[in-house]
Amino acid sequence: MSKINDSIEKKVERHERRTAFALTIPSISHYTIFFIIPLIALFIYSFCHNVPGGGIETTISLENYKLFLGDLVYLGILLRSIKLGLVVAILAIFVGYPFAYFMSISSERTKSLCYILVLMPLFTSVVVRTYGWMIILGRTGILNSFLIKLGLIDMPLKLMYNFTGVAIALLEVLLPYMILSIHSVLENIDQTLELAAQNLGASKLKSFFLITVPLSIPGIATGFIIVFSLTVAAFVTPTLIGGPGFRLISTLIYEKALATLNWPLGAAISFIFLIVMIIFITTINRLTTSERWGTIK
Amino acid sequence: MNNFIKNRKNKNNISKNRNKFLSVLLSRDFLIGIYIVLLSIFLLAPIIIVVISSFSGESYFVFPPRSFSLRWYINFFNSTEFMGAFKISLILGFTVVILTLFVGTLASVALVRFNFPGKKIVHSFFLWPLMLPSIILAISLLIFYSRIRILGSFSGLVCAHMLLTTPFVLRAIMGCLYTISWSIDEAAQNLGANRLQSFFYVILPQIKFGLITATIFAFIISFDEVVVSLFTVGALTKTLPVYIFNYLEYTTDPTIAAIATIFITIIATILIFIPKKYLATIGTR
Repeated sequence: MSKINDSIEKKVERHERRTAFALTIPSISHYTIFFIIPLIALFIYSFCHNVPGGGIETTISLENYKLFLGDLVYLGILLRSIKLGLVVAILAIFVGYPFAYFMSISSERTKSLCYILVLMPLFTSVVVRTYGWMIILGRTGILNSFLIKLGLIDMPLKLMYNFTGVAIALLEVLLPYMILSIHSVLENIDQTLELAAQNLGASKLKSFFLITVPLSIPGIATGFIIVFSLTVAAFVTPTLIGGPGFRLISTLIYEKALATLNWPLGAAISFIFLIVMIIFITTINRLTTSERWGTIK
Repeated sequence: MNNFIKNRKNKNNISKNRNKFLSVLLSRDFLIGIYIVLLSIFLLAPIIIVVISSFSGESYFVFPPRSFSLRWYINFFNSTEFMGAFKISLILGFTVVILTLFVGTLASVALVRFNFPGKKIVHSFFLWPLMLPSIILAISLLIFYSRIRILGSFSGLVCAHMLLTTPFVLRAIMGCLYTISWSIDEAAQNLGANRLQSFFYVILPQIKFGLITATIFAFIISFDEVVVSLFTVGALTKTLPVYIFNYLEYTTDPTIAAIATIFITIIATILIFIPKKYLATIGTR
């Protein structure tokens, strides 16, 4: 009996495997052709020699990597990108956390209103929102004319084409990600824990900072990683708000790829960028693993 | 915060009236209210400004607008370039949706229904394009497409967009597939339905919800996509966001605001139709 059962089980297993293979083959082949092979091509290109005026010479040399790492201007651009990422991600935590907390303690109706408030910007094209910020932050823009009318400033502030403007616009563009990832963790924290702490004599503030905040660190970490990596990789907002004078790693890749047509160098910059990102993200992950902060089971 | 509370206690003794005013001003609800209002303004400001300026009568932006007109909308509908880009974006969106839904549904059924070696790896493999900075994806596709000579073609754009929509479609459909009971599928087959029949008559109606969500998300993502499109479009296949982006690099005039408002209206209309709980799960990726 058991022998027959075994053979049937094996047959079923083989059949399942075959069906699953047939069902996933379209998407896997699509991914292989349009995702894996292009990445391999990019990797190969990063070792090639660029022939000005078109074409490449297939060699294996590290010249593109050396060119980037030996140039202080390029390294400065990389540093600026990372600094922007850190500034925006840290600001997003402080601006977004209270809202996420408010969302998690409010009633269902308020909550769904909050969802719409957060998701409406998320689903509006980045180009459109950046255009809005261009109108607001410009030299004769709304913010400047408003502040002048109030008498707070005499001369218009310089908010476009610099770090401040790009950071403000990116903060707005990416804040929804931070709010949603903190909120999804806060939603799952047992609210009675805070009440228990208050029962045992902690003040409201103390129970919030000693119970809720540490427990929500995984959400903060996820939000931080998402906002950081999206800021560093952001392209549309820095190009339009920052202008040609404000260069970041992403605009540099764009310039190499489409303006100066130096694809090997662009490829090498992409890989250096990728490695830096991976280092940053794994470090953040290490620092915020739940063992370090303790979990309540 | 602690100082706040101490201050409030001190002022208690000084004057009752002043205390009342201050306690309203410093009360938790009031502060939270101000914070929520400021945050809402911050989040929605660019969108609202764009919508308002699309109706302004002047060619440069003044706030509040001195006169209203619809001439920027007329400008948009009369411009063949803009309308062409708009059409391409719409056709591209629909093509991407149909293809991704087909490919994505097959893969999600395989991932939920069957056990096979390497299932976890395949699942995470499908999420990879989201983890890669889109600018790197874009430059790799640029190099690859120019090598195989399909740079700027419509099919190239479709395949590139599908990389970005597949993860979301998988997520929406798999979420639905996990909740249905597969014994109904087996029962249908026991009663004489073949696999296809049972899929179309038994499984599909149960995941209708997931399919609708997936459609909407795939369309929005394709319709909004800029970076990957920017690197892979040709002169004849410029999508609307790419056209707007190129336009904004040199000039800003309210025609863009008119287009953007149409854009926002389309997305907002779509958003109203999605149930909120699905938005939450997908928004966080």
